[in-house]
Amino acid sequence: MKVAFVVQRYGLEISGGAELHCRWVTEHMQKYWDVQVLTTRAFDYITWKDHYPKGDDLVNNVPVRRFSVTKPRNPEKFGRLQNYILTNEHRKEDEMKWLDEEGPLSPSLIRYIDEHKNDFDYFIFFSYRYYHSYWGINTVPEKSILVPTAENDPVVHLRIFKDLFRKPQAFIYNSVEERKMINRVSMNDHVLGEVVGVGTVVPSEVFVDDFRQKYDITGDYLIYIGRIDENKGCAELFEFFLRFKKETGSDIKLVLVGSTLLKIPSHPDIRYLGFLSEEEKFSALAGSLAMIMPSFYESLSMVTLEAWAKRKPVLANARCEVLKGQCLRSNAGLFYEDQDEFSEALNLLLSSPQLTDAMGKNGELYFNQNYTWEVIENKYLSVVDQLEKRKE
Amino acid sequence: MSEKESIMTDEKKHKKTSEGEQDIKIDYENIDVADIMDQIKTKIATQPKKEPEFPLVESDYVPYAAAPPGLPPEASGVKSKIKARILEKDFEFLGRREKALEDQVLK
Repeated sequence: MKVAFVVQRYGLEISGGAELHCRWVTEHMQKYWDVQVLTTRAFDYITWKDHYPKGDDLVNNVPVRRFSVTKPRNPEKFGRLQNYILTNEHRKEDEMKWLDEEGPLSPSLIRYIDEHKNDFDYFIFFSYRYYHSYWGINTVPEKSILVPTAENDPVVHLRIFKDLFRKPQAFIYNSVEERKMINRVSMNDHVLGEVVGVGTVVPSEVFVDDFRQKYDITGDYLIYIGRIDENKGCAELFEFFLRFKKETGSDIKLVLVGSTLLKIPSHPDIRYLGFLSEEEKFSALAGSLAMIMPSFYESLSMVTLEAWAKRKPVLANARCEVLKGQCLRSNAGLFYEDQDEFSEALNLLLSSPQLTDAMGKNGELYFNQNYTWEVIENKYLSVVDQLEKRKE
Repeated sequence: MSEKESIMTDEKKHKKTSEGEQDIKIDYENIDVADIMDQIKTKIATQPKKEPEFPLVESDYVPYAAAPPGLPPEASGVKSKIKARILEKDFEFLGRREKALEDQVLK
């Protein structure tokens, strides 16, 4: 079985969600299939300008073929165009222009897929919203599997995607909510679809005391891991957290890990640590009372899965359907829609170690049942197996 | 009282009494998040609506971690906020862990 994984960027240095997701899946599925990655030379996800050498490469023993991006993205021009099509009546041609600007514009990648389609049994495309998936799936619909990595944002409602979502032979979704959303916008229920997600690697050994000592952190703390950004719900988190502390007198702390695009309140109990190594990150997670996930938009929150893998409950933004759904299915997290719910849920977590312990165990169980690599690999194999049976 | 609650033993019941407010009852051997959240919502609904005891004013937010140089200033006004939102949403859609990019920028 020869399978091509097609993704916008690929490399060890690239840590973006969908690309990392693709790389991990490719590396794991190499045990079963003859895999080949088809991608662009881009490293920078804003402009997509060529960075990596053209042609063949080997990344963790996975053969990778990179194709040039003919025109880097102009962020200003793209922003104006996207603003226009999301807020005005427009034609399909406008959406096609948007797609060209969205990029990464690499016709040679699509040409290669067309010329070599008989060399592969399947093409697995990652990220629906980019040029490579749209044109790639339209080039080989009969061999296409799509991993959409879609969030509930306005772009998913563009008409070009309504058509696109009916073309692949199968979908590999990140969550039940993602599947429902794509079914709803495109009425593609007839297309085979499995909720799979991605596995993650969790170190068995952590060093909580070392972490606390190094960063001088004592007592209970919530941890947030990810980009510190208004779009991730962090501004609201700061407000809710500070109000909770003022109203209750709690000495709970908030530890923030990741890059920041937002002003962080200067408060002794809000600790911004920047980036941490994987070892320190997991130590920080293991030492926390719970992980806070305030984001409004998630396709699959990998750090939430990591928290559950480390037996930590989650306090999540209920306005993100994916996070709320994961909390309900796992029984490993509480959620909030407003200040009152935030405060009550946090109060409950603080006052009941028995609850945090029980939810942590549920989280670990949920992770082991759904997100170990063995489970993920078998789901990918099952999708392809079902497609093969259809051919018989 | 629901059937589930009625079969819970006293040991399994957690009673959190705060200012005489309604308790949240939890079966620790069979955590039901939907039920806990329902109880939280009910508790909030039965509480008198309280005004915030203090305003969270701008001065509460003294930044000590500024945005990296080169990024656009914070949007102001609905239109620019929408635009900034769209730009950020798209460009950072994949950037869950954009350490690599930051490293490149800082080089």
